[in-house]
Amino acid sequence: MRDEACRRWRPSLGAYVLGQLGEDERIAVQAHLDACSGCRAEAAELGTVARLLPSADPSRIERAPAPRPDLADRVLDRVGQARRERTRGWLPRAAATAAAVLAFAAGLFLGLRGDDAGERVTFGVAPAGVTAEGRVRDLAWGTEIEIRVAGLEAGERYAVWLEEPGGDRVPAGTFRAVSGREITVTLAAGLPRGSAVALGVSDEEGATVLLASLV
Amino acid sequence: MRAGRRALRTEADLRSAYAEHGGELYGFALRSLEDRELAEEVVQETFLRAWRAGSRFDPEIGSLRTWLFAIARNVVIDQARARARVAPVERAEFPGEPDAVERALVAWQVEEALRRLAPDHRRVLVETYYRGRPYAEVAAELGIPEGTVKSRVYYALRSLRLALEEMGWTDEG
Repeated sequence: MRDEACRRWRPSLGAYVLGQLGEDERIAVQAHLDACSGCRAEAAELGTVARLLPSADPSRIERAPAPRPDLADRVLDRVGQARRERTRGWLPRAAATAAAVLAFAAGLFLGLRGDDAGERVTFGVAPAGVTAEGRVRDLAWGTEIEIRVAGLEAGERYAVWLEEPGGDRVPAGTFRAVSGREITVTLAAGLPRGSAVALGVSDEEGATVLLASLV
Repeated sequence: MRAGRRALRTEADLRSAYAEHGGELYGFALRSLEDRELAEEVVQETFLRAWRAGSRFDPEIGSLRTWLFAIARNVVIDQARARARVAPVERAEFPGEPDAVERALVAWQVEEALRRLAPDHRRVLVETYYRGRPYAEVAAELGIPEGTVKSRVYYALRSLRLALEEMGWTDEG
């Protein structure tokens, strides 16, 4: 009976794939494997595992190394810091605050004019050689965004987004920069103007290129 | 652009991801770099990069764990290279090479899988395979028949395979 033979030889398959069997038993197991595809498949699976064993260092398996208990907090701190920096842009903290105040003042001034075209926004963060200005307009379905920009790397694709207070970004769409002239792109994001704290543009690597505070 | 929900969006997301995978990521980083400070640095940097790229995580493609390990592998390579620039290390192999990191990852996975075995199973593998001791000697020491040592070796390998599969290992990998 094949089942009986399997019951007899299966428990030897571990020692078989590890080369631990005596000659007689090895030959007997081999004979069974030649006749039984089920055990052959099992031996093949165990063989793959056996081939991995040499890579382990047995002196390391007694106990798992653990990081210091405060690593969880340090992970959260680091992400929290990055979250704050993202909201502020690349500028140092003091400069970022100043930029936010200026942007607020500009927005307030334009807002008082009650322009139907929306409010103008200034990009406090922009690389050298790039000129950009934006406009955001609060609509029933979200926020319409218009950006006029020149000097970005031609051919590169840029993503436009609005940022929520928690640091989450709501995408407004993408555009491709054109060489040598100013372009105007109009996009939209499904986030009310009042819920956005910043308008940003990032490159394909995800790095923020332009950032305007909306608060 | 934003397919579904961003991964690791909130502090609670991060906390639970760390609780689930932080220790493993640390274990892998330590295995690669042999330096506790650097390994902790790798874990912090891994979660930071994961948070930054959270919108690119697609649970349809793979688990959060697989994704974090893919990021950690790159961070380990970066760390090892940075360290080599500052103070050239005298080592048989340069740990900043992707192949070396890959080997460290396999070694760590196998060691971690061995740690997850039942103590009886682990014991027979360590004694017979790593220490190369005869079955009869191990059987006498443990006070069990030789046949039991043999079947424990079999079940140890089977469990090891399961543990490796749980960690995302595949035959092709």
